Amino acid sequence: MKKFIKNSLYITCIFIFMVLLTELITSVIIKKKSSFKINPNSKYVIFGHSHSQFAFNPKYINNFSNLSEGGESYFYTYQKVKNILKQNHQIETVFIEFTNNQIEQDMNQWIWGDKYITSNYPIFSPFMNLEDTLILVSNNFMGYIGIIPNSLNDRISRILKSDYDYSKNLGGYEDLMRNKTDSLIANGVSKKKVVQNNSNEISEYNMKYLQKIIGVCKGNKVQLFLIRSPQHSKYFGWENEQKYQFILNKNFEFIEYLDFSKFPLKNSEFGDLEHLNAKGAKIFSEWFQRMLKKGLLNIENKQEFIDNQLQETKGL
Amino acid sequence: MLFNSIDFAIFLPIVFLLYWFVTNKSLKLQNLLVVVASYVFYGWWDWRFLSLIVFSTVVDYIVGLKLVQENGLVKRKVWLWLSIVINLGLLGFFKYYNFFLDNFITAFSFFGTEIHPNSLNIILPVGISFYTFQTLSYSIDVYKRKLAPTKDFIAFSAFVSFFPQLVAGPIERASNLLPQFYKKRTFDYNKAVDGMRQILWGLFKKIVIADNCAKYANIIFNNSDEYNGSTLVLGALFFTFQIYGDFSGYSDIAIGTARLFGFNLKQNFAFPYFSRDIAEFWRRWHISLSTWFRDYLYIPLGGSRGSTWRKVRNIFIIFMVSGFWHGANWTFIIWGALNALYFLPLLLLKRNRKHINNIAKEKYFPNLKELFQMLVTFGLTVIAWVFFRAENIRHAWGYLSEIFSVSLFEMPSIKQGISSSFFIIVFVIFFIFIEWMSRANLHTLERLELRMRRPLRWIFYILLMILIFLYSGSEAKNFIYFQF
Repeated sequence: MKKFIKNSLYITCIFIFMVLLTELITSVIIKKKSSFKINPNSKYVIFGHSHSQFAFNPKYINNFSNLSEGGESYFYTYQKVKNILKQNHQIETVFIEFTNNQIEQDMNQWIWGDKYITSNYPIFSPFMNLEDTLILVSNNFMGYIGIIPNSLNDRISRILKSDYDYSKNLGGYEDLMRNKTDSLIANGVSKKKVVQNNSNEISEYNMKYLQKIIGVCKGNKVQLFLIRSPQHSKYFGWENEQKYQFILNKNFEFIEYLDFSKFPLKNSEFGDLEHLNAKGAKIFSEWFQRMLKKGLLNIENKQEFIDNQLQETKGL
Repeated sequence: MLFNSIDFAIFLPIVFLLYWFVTNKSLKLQNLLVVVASYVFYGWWDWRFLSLIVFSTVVDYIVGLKLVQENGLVKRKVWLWLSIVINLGLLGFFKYYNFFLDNFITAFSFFGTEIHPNSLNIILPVGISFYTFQTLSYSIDVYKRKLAPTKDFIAFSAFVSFFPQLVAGPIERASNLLPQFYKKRTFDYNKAVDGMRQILWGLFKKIVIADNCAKYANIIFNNSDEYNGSTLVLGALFFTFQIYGDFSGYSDIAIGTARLFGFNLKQNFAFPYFSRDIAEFWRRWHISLSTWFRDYLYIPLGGSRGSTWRKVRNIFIIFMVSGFWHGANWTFIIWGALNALYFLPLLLLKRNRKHINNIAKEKYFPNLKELFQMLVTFGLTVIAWVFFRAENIRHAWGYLSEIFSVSLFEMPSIKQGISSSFFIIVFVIFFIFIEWMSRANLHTLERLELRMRRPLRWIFYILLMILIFLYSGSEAKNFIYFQF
């Protein structure tokens, strides 16, 4: 029996050592060879979750890349931003979506919830440091253990296929074809979700990683703006507006903020209460392009300018 | 609890240590631990259905005792039928209620009468087809006085619920497994190592071969209308290896686990895809079920004795019942009937026991004749699996019609998902090679110490462990035979 247990332990140790070694070697190779190169003409980039993903159509905005991804927390955006800025020196301006739901505690699940860890960890694990990894381990140990094989498998496949191009894993604009706004309002969905958002808790981790993103942008000397994409007046997220404004003013006082949330759109131009559909995205993106041309980013009082422009647009 | 889950990876060492270090002084205590561990193992999935196992155990335990107390033939028959009716009644209700109901509705509507009985949303208790057959065999053997009934309720409970083979077999006979619960087990290093090897290969078959083949088989079967004949052949081949890897993998893990606890379970698969005819295939595929049907259905019906008509009838009955055992769907019945059709010529020409030995015995390669026979048998099996996998008869028919059309000669259409199947094809080739080299053994990695030196052997183990780990994914995937 002793011999059996001893041999079983030996073989288990060798196996664990081999896994760790593979993890290390693949991580080094991928870090060294990975490519996060985006369109060389992109001077402006936007990161964020589905709100910005469905709002900014780069087809209508010059020198612009939309690298937002639905369901993405700042934890994973940070991994993207640090690699993209390192390899794309043409980028002059970074926009980061900062909207009402991103401060909520639910966002923690977007970091370590099973669904999110499964889809994001295999892609970004080679670029995570110990602190990042410990956040996942300490908050969802089983989820983390469960995803290691997928992550390692993904890395080995990349190496075997010599596929180090991460640009296809960076998200991007998508046409949202649906229009559920009227039916959602009729069914009272906007009210149902408000109840869930009434807590005073915030996602410390999401805020911490937004600060880290800001730090990376500063380190790379790019102009940074927090933005809020257009959202419907009946969007349930408005419920925490007071808390949102408090966090914005307290934590991000020195970061320029552009609020497009009240951009006037019809119900038929929203996919639902928080996302623009393709029609809305076209209208908004064309308007945004005009604002850039008018020098929005260099004007002293940007929000006042935006608000005036929005009033003008409404008047039309 | 699934064998390929983290839960089982924690559960197994705990039970192993308790079994050999805490309860090893008392046989009763050791058996009790097996019962408790088995109930935990089963209850992990749904504890409510434990009551069915307990009920079945109590019924057959009492029936066994009554059968030996009673001498009158009529009373003994009554007790036997009580066991049969209760066991098959439970199986019938949980597995076949809705099937019969749907078919009655269809039959009535065919004759112009509309009936609207209530169908029930019935969950099929995992493993019910397996433990029902296991307990039934006990009652029948006791009735036939082939086996003395047990008075040890704990040993009997352990026999019925023994966790390694509880949910997907091998279906053990009481005459083989029950006496092992009466004797004190001693730890045998070689047996345990052999068990570990069998578990390792079983996990490889399930996680690396079956689960990966399943991905591609599912893409092709679920969208079969969009693919040409050659791609559909590829889909059928993927399913052929999926079902073998999945089910024989489960059996390997079950047998290997039992060996860790000092038990010997029956071999359930003997490299069936190297068979030279369908009769040989059925001697090598799901052996514990085939022999169960042979002993408790085919032979009582008269077997291969009697008139030609009777032989034909018996063959069709056994194969179609075997198909129906797999699931309440006409596809399984047709799958069984098709195998009966394959088998019949061999039986009528008295060639069904022609290939008893292993193929290419003591040689590296088969001769041309053997290779041809093997490929034909494999091809017939693949065609039959299409019925087994299809959603319904129409789906199977459409699938096969496309295979036997001119599009068979087109290149397989490589769509998204299929193109990355390269690695899995490499693994399947590696898998076939290792199985071919081991075809004379009871299981693939048996007596590996005679074939490989220790360093090479350990490298091989580590390689398998890494492959299993890499493909284990974030969620353990169910075994196909759980649905039966």
